[in-house]
Amino acid sequence: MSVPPSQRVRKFSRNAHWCHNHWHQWAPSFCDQRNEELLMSRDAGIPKLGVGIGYREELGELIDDSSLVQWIEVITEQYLGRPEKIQDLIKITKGRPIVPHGIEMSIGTFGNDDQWLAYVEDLAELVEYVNAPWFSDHLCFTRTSSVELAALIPLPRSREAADHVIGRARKVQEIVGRPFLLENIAFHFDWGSDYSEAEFLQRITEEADCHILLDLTNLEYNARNHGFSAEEYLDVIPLERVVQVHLAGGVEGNGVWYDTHSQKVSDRVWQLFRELTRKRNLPAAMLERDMRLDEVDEIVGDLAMAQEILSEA
Amino acid sequence: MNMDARIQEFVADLLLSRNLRESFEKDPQRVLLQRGLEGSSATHKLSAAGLERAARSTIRKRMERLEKNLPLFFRALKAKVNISSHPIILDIPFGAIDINHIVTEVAKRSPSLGDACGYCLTTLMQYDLIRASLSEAAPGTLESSGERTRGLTDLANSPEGREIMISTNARVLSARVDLNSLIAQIQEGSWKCSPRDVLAIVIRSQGGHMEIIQTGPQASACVGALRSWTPIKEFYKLHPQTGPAVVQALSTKQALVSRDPGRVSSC
Repeated sequence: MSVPPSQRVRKFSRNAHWCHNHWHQWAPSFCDQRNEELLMSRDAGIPKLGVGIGYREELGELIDDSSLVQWIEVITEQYLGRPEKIQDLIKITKGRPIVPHGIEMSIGTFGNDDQWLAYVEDLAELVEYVNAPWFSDHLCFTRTSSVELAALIPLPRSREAADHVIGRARKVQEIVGRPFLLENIAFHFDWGSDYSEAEFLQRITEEADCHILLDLTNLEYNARNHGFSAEEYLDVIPLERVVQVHLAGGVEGNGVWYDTHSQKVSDRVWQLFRELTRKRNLPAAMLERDMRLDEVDEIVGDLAMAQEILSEA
Repeated sequence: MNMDARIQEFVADLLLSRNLRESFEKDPQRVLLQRGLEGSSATHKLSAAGLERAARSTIRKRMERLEKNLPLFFRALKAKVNISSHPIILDIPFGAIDINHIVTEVAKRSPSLGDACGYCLTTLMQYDLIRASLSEAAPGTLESSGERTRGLTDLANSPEGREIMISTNARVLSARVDLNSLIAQIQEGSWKCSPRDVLAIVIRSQGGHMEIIQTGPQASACVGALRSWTPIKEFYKLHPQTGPAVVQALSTKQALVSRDPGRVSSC
């Protein structure tokens, strides 16, 4: 954890196998062919992780079962600059891959560049320390230049915002040196926009040459709440860039769907997951569960179902 | 500032202010006009209700921030209410810089959070905020020029040092809460709302420690005059009649003193 940032960046730059630029060169001619995709995935240095879960202390022994849980996703901010806590985590995961998933990168914030760069430098140390195969955060903003919002707020899907995020996503990859995944958020208000959500994600990930963490529950609830087709969304985004999916179950209130990570995964989300795995050989799927963590049978059932669908593919 | 940045600032203001959200809900065009955002293609679909839903839909993120930034306050809430579904999630903009606003919001919501008078929750929040600010401050930055920070040992042994320390480093935290007892209750998970007249002063000492000085009812003359976050030096000036009672209570060992109840992390 004590490697100076300048040395660390140089070190990552030498690790050519983590550089995934050549994935993009191959993508157009192979994106619909599963075997070739697998090759691409290997070439890009993106391993097949299988099914994982978001680490929560309350999950207890369930985490220990490596047949159910092949890798662990952790909230980045809980471990930044905390090597002792990371050591504890490494013990718990017992050699299984750890993937940092951030909630405070705020890639869409305009301004405050120094603070943002400091965060990315800290993130790079964490990613290196746990030897993460990739890392992720959300396509949104969580702060302005002066105020923390503590919520994932959708960006105006303007050309200007896209240009801004593309620049920052490139910078993140340059500093961290490992594959970076941007996640689609659940959004509850919309902007007058130059792009649809799918087009926005497509343009950013292709021009920044980064990857996608596709939250299928967010996608389904956004489709319900805002009246669009989840299938058409999948037709637009560059599926060859989808490295991981999030699966979860939420609730409905007053006609609005919320991804609360509190329920079992719905049949509809499983259906989308199956459709996606038919089109794309997915490296990883992850179950998000934050409430009702004592419903072990429900959680185990969801993990097993995810495993089954990934295996079928 | 470009248009998107201005919109982000506007969204932040909407999230931080229930009053602004209500105004925006009633008459969005007027509010946008006031902000110079009228006609912006990026705002015509924005709604206050949508923003509230956005905040509630990221409860886990807000919880983690709350637990990280205001740990004792978080524990108190967790012990009393189902915070994941409580409106407090939206009404405490705990990343905001306006501390008075945060404390006011907490005080308003306290009766529904198991704290009838609000003293316990607002005190815990202020205590957490002070701890956070001390952990971020460079050593010595809260000291006045040229004066070394004196700890409670100095306080006990040096009459002249007592005033120097209090005047340079203390903050009035609460007038009604036995802070040591409250912190113990929170850590044990046994918190009960039981306010009484206790004057608590939080002091920074060397090494990033926090120290709490509390006086009992003997200093109650000061209680009515105290305002949260009032530096003692300022308080002393504002209340020359009642202020000395604080020092009197301390100097006669009537005060309860707790050393290092919450060590400020240096990492």
